[in-house]
Amino acid sequence: MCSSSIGVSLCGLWQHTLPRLNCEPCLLLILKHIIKLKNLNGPGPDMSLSHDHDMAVSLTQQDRSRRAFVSTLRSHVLQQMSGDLRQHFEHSVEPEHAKSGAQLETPEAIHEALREEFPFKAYSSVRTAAQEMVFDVVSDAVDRQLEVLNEKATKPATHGTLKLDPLLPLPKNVTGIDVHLSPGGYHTEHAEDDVTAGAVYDNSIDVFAFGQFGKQHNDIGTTLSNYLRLKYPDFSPASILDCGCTIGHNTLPWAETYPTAEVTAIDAAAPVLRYAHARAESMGIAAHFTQMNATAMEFDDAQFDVVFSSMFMHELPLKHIQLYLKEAFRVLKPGGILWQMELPPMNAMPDYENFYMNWDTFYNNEPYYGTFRKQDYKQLLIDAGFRAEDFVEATMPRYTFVGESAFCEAIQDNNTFDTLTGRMDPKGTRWYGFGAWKG
Amino acid sequence: MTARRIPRKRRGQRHRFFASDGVDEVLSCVLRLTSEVSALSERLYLAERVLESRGIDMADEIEQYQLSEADDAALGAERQRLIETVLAQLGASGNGAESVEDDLSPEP
Repeated sequence: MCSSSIGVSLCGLWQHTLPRLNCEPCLLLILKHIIKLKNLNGPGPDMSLSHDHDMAVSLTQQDRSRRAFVSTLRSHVLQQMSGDLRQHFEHSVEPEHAKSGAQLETPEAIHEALREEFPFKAYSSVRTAAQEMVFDVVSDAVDRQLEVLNEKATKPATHGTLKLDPLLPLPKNVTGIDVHLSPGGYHTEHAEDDVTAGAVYDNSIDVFAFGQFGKQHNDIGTTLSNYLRLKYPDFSPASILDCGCTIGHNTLPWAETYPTAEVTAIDAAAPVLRYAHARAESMGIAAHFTQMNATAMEFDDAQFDVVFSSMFMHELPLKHIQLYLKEAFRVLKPGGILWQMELPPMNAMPDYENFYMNWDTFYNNEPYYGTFRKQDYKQLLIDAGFRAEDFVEATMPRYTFVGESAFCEAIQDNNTFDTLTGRMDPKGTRWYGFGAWKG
Repeated sequence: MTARRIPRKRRGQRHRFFASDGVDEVLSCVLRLTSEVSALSERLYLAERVLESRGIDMADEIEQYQLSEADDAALGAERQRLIETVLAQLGASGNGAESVEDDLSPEP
């Protein structure tokens, strides 16, 4: 079917719908975006690249087509529609406010000024629908193969271990909300010894990130671990802990970067840990997955050389962040490092970028995101016991995409904050890392 | 049709961005429908290429084809799946949203 006939069909649908909704110009603009989406040139995202492990689900051609569509839709929203939104702000909203002497100098003020504007409504509504569709399109294949996946996950381990604690109280920020708009979140169990939440999450990453996290979804762990290896060549950790690991996709690169180290990973949710363990086993990588709350770890003092986390803290209430950092300080050996990939702090980014990044706080079931980004990260670490002079932060390109040589060159100047920092963008995301040595 | 065991609707209220009732939901329906149209058009494209490579004129074959009971059942199930997918946000899919404690609002 050609794209013009799709446009005609949709126009027919809208002709029925528009008079009743009484906002024809708005909806026609959205329709324009949909038609533009179908007219995108070039190949779509490849939905058959990743999942090189036994827990991968087999996909039908329709699975691949649906996933490719949603991935393309998300990419369109985050590039084209977000670009339109920014342009509307800079060329219309901001000058209008300036005429009346009002300055839009905070992310909150920008949000307030934009929330009744059509481009913001269109962007937000389509982005929300696309986010919901991510989980919808991946759940079909997982649903079909649930029994097989749960069976595979019970295979005896030959490399690492899995230790679950059925009595562990799950924190409310995990159970009380479907984070990322993911139905059931990451803790819900649909069967005995269930891995569903892990399988859905693993499958959703490619669709969500349109391939930006690498073939094994491991670019963040690969980048952050290689940063330490290259920046501190004399540092040779023997024990590494990943906190809030979900499916272990960013845990396993640590075992590859530091092959002699023992790698441990914790998460509060059992289904993702079962999946993480089975996935790691099938890839032949030794890692030890344990169900534990990062705010109250059961490890001895001074047990790890590295405490790592990725995209973890911004999902925690501030009180839990403070508890987690104190625990991280406690379990670190003297001379060890806390090293985390996170969203860049608000004080390092322009106001509009902060408004844009904080969208998720309000609309993506990530209610602690904005509060976290408002914090002085160095002060958080000082309050947890680290010394100010031991604070480390850096921005860096994605290691698996640029290669070691370009990566080495890029990390010489390691504090470049720009519009690509911490933001998924096909033009080249830069990750932000921060932490501290334990003196 | 495979039973849907994984919930397809998240808990809690959907955000409403447009003031007019139903606009956000209709937009969601349209995007889901577009996804299905996209998948279908890709399937048709692939089918045409496969058959063409075997020297079969698909258009003529389709006109002559007689549907069996099994065909009817399969197409009926697919129609049902399509409707559930397109109308997911209108609560017609049987995977209704559960209640959720609503005190997890953004911190001040």
